[in-house]
Amino acid sequence: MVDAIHKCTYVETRDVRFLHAFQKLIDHEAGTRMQRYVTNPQAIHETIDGETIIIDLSTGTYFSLLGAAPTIWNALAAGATTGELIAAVEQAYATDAVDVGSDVESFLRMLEGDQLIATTSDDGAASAADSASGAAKRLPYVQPKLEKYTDMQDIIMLDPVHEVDSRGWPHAAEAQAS
Amino acid sequence: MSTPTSGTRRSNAAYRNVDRLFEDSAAQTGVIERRYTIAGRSVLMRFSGAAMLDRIGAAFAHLETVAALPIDAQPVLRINIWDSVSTGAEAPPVLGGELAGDSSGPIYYFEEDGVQAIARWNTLSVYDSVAGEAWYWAPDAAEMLSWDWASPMRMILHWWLGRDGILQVHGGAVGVPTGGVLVVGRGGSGKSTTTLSCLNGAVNTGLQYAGDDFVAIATQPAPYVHSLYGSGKLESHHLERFPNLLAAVANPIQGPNDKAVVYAERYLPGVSTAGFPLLAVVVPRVAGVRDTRVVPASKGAALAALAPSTLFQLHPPHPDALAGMASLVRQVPCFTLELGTDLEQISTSIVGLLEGL
Repeated sequence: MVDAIHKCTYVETRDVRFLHAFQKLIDHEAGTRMQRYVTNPQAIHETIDGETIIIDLSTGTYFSLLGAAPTIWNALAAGATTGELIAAVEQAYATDAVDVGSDVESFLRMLEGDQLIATTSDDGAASAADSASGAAKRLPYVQPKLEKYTDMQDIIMLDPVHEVDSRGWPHAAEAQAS
Repeated sequence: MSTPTSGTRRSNAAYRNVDRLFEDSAAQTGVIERRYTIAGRSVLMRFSGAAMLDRIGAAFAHLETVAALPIDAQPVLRINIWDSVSTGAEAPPVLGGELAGDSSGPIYYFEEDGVQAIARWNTLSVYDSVAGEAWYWAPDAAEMLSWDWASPMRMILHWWLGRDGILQVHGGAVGVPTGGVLVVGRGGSGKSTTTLSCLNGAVNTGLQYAGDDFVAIATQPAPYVHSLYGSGKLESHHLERFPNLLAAVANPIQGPNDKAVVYAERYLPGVSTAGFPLLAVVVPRVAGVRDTRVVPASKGAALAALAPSTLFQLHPPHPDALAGMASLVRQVPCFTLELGTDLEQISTSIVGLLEGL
């Protein structure tokens, strides 16, 4: 009898722990899905014919976004949460048997790594996924892809560097007139 | 020569010393005036003495207004141009603060109350949008690097035309009066080879030349190319490939960063154009095979070839420049020009492309 009670208690305790752990996982997942981002204001962007070009004016780096990446980026720029990003991709592409969540998370990490986005606690933005048309035919899914180019720094460095001449110009503007 | 009176200027403007220095110089040397039509707009350039006119005037020669103007015709932009060595004028003060993070040397940028100024590449450019007046100064006209005098006053033209929604873009342009192509690409893509090949072959093809490095683009009401400079810049390998252009080169190459400059009008009078309707964007790519081919390109690829190098070479980038360039590539077909080793095919391929549009 004592053994039976102990067993029941153990099972109950184990279940409660499991439920707590499961709930924590759900909460974490929900929190992740509710995460919002802000895009780098120095990163100007245009999407044209399914390709997004992002130019980071602060670093001289530019990016080409291909596959499902433009859908994610444009939803990000509209203030979507992670969950809304996933929904936007699932709405735009035929994603059966694809772990969209994993792809979106990986892509977000890449964008964060290149300082194109940052997380925010601001939840005031409108849902971007809601604006997508559910009636549109879904496209074949292509993983989001981020191509990075740094050759603009090379072009800038090709500009001839003029030495400051013997008169020391540009000189401090002591004569900068008041 | 004449010394016209300057227009009314704000007495407390921070740049007034620049204007005073020019006027002092002009009072000593006299002013040589030249009128040009740039992007359909009347521009008056006022040179203090002949040195800077000799140095940069040829880049605009194809845009010079030769017809007599009505006596009350007012330019929409006046640019006052001088150097210190030839005129004895004091060097102007730097305006604004030093910009960080640029590798091309000290840059000072100033923007206040409708006035923009930049000190870069050892020249000073100032533009007053309210007065419609600009100033361009170099320490010594004779010492300006060819890179600079082939495409002078780019920032002033960028600021001025940008106010009317006309974008200065990094690209060349060739075509015929009914339409032409914008040639865009990163360094080493074959952009200059393409435009210089068209210049070189113009006698046979009838193509006209609007520039090899920077042109201005209007996207409304329909895409249109405006020529800014009638010059072309050649690296040593270009001189080997286009020996016909050698006779029109204005300078010897003086160093690893220097380029020879050719003036299109000196090579072939009448070959330059003030502009034409823009019918296509062409992105060259060195193919390494004999024949040149034209194949469709994605608009994204064209925008990626056009936008970054444009934005990073102008300061500050026009706020709507990327959207404007996207608007441009949306309106016209885009092509990859796979450059072959038979250079004559490059210009004939472009002629064939234009005939098929």
